[in-house]
Amino acid sequence: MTTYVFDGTKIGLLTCVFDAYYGKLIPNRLTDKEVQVGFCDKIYNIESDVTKSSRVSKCLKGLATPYLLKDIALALKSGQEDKFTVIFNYIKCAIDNKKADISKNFADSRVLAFSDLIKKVTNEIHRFKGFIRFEQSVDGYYYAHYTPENDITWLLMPHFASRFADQAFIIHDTKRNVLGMYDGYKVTEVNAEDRQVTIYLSDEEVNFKKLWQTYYKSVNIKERKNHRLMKQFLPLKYWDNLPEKQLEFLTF
Amino acid sequence: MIDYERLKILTESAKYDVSCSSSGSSRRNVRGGIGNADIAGICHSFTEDGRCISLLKILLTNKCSYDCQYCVNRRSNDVPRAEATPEEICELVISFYRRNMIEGLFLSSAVDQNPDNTMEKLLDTVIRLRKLYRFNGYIHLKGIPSADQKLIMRAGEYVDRMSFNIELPSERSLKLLAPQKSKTGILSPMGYMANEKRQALSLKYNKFLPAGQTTQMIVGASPESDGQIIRLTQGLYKKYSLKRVYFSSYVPTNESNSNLPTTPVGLLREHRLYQVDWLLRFYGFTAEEILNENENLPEGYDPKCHWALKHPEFFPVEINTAPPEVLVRVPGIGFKGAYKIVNARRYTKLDFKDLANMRIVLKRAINFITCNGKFFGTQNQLAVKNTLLLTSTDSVSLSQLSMFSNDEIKSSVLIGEL
Repeated sequence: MTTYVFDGTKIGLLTCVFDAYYGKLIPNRLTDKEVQVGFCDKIYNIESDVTKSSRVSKCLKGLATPYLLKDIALALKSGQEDKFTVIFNYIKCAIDNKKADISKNFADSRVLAFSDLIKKVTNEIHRFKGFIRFEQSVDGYYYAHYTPENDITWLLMPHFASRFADQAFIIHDTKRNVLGMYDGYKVTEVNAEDRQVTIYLSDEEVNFKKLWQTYYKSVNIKERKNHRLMKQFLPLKYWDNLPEKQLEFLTF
Repeated sequence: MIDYERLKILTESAKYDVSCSSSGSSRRNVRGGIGNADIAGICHSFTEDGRCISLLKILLTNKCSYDCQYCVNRRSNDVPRAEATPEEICELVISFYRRNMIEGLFLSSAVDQNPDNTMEKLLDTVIRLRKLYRFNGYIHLKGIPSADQKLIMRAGEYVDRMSFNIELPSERSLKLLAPQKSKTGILSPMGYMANEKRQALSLKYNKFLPAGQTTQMIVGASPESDGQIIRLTQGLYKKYSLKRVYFSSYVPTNESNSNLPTTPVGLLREHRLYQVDWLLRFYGFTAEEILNENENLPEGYDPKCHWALKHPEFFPVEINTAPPEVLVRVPGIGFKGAYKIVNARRYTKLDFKDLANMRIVLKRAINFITCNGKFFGTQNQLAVKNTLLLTSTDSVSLSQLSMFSNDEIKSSVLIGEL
């Protein structure tokens, strides 16, 4: 097994592609973490190199497969363990078939794996367009927290910024402690690292929460109860951030 | 702001309208305004019955002067009554919308006094939202049958989608169960809205009803067969260019009534009708192909399988050469599957293993396809039928035998089937 260890950035990944084609062994695995080394394993530590990566990205633009760089950027937002390996295999497949657009060759396992990876990210973006809930703070801006599997805060911001153009808001990814902010003019992303984020909510929020819970309860048709279907559309992992699904409400 | 009690009453009266989609419109936000519409629609939550919540579904009032027998809000029904002002509805929509709980508003109303008066109030609410609150999210407005044409047309300028419920699948049933409503009162506004929309589109004006019209009918409250219902559905799609036809299986909402069944109709019939609806809209089937006029859909397997079993001469289909419109007719291959197959076979000849990797449901498809001329299914009709049958047992209700079981079960005991 050949493993490349790099810093997990886009530049680093493209440097890996460069090194794989110039001299080093083709890797079976790429990672940005410490790895356990087997007896016959070969490990390369790849240093990110801007000149190498820009040569690769220039090469990728010339291939028959379109939107490569855009798709790679999207795939890098994924939270899947083996994402670097999947992306690398896809890039390699595209380079090896210079003159053919391989993006829709779903019979190739590398392409199928990559298309599944991208779909997981875009599906989660679509889901959270609906499942994010804002609460108003005492200062008047709106705050929402959520725990997505993929790093999608930056990709969600344009949707909410055009929708709530006149409303300052913050979307807080509590898993990565990253905040997407919109002040009514522009969108920024802040990585809070290990600092704590404290928000003081407006007193009126309790009322809106109860109104929404009343609505949620009333719109259900008891005779047609189908709990399994509901859970299929709205898996348990999303319930934490939804007021209509909170425990104190469900028990009474 | 509206209080909990009234919100509860007005929502509980509105919940029997099935439609809650927010798709089909890509309305943009304006400067200084709030909201936009997403062309694909967004679901914000799901109720315990598995339906999506995307719009705030509410009535302006449930005080009704009509007496439709299937309806929970009928005049003679003893239920709590309430009403809300247009201002209260607007405030509620905006505060839910700002918290990203909803995609927009689904506004309907019981017929208070007369249709024109009710339609005026609905229109007032909608215009207030758009002009005063500068709200650009999705609005689905229920049309009131027999209201003035000018009021209805005006509403079309402000809302994204409008719907008139045809309520029941035949004029006879409508007369019997909803004596104050008339077929022309429902169909004629649908007709002139459809015409207006066609004209608007031909002039490249896309602000009139961007998400089109829909309708809804109750299934199981009246004796029409599935064959009749899907013919009617197909006719509605063709004549009025509807976006959707919704079916709602009948739930008893009132005290016993000799004209109506007393037990709820199972959800499976509704599910099968929706499957046909999809076949009509996307898969290129016609109602005549699927079912004869007086037949009902089989409950055991889906309508596409039903069609496939009746047409053995159409199969097997060669995966590597069949055009996409033929592929989607194979049980187990849907739109996504056909898309993957058609794209992948440009590069290489596909085999059964590739299909499995693409997550085609081979269990169902295997008897209807060949890959490179190879056929691994069976020609035995009965065996094919068995593989297509529903395997889950939860749709079949098992019960202890009693002395008073119905004839069918009794006879099956006698001949030793049980």
